[in-house]
Amino acid sequence: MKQYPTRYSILITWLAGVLLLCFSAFPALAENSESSPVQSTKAPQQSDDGDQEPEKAEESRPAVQPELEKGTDSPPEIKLPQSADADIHEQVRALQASLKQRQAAVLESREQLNYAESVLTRLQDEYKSFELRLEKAGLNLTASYADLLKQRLERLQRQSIAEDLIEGIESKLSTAREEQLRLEEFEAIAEPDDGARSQLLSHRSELLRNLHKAVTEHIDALNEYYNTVTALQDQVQDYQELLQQRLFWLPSAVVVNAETAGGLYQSAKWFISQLRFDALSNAITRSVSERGERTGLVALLLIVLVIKRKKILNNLLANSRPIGNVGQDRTAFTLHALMNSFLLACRGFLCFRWLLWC
Amino acid sequence: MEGNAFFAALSKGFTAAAFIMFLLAFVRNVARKKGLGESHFHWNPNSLLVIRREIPLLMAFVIPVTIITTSTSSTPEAFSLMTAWSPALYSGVHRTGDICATDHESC
Repeated sequence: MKQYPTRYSILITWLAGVLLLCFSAFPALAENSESSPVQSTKAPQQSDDGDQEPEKAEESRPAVQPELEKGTDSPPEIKLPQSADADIHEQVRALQASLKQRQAAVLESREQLNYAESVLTRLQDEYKSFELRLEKAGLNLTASYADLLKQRLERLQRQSIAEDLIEGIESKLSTAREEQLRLEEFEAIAEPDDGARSQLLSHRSELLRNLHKAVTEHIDALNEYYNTVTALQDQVQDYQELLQQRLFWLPSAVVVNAETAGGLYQSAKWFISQLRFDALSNAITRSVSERGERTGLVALLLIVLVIKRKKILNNLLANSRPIGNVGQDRTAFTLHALMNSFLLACRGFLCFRWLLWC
Repeated sequence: MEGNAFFAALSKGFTAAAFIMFLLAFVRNVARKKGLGESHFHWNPNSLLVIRREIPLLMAFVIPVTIITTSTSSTPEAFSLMTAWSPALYSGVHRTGDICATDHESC
């Protein structure tokens, strides 16, 4: 027996619709201290008990900017001549040049490391103090404080650690490791000579040892730099997460009140006043001339769906019959039923699309 | 839809309404008697009956409101009207669940 909706059920559904709309717009209760008289009276209390303090501190304290510049140069590549063939003077000169370059690279990496460590320390301190301040302030934050939080989040998103910086450090590290190996090989191949060149050879050995030491120092510095930058990146992500978690609880809409219905009425009135049929017919004519094929196709699909509705419904029923019968039940029947439900739901959608393209 | 700003805004309203209508109609058709929910997934028939009965009424309320609010918020003239008279409704319809503090533009 077919059931028709009673007047009571219609009323309930309308009320449910209104409630649904209200809840969708219902924000957290604390909102907009400038406009709300209740909150404006609360504001001095907040300043008394110290809840406003974080906002002042937030405004006054310069925030850490976790921007790190990429290293200017890639590590110098050591050009080692063949020990047996090359001139010993040439080897010494090449090794001296490489040593100087490597020492400069080590200094640069140490400077970058110190800077990154200082940024990391400041960011960690800021994160901890910010976390404490947020805990103290609770969820009762004002609109201006929310704006500051939002600004800080945007800044952090803008100034996050560049991915190519980490990649650059990784490539420098791998190059330095390769060179360390190459140096060790060169040192092993180079044979001691008891002749007149022994002084030069011992100088070369000393240079090689110094160079090896410099390369090892460089690798250590780069490793530390890599760890620091990775930690900094994690810290920035944690900071962003903290801000996002806090912003999630902040109000994003004003409370629905009696003016809402009036506003809706005004909007509907404006909407109807804008409907001019001469302009509408002109627009439809122009649109059909421009997109006639697409509109025609959608209209055709709509007509087919309307005509075939009975058949789709019968198919849906036919697909439901073998369900539960172990010998006949197939997954394909459920998929067909899903497709039938989809097709039946498409009519309204296509109707609006057709109107849209008109 | 071609034409002036109003018809452009109206087309946005229709787009929003089309998607809402499709979703609600799909749920209603899944809840159809001897349909996907009842026969294939063995969902509670009473719940499906309530869905079948109430969704058309919900659509009758939600779709016009969506068309009006989306259209009016898409034109500058109506946007001022909308935010002046019904900011809560405007925010409710346009709330996307993302992080936004208090200003409507950022939502």
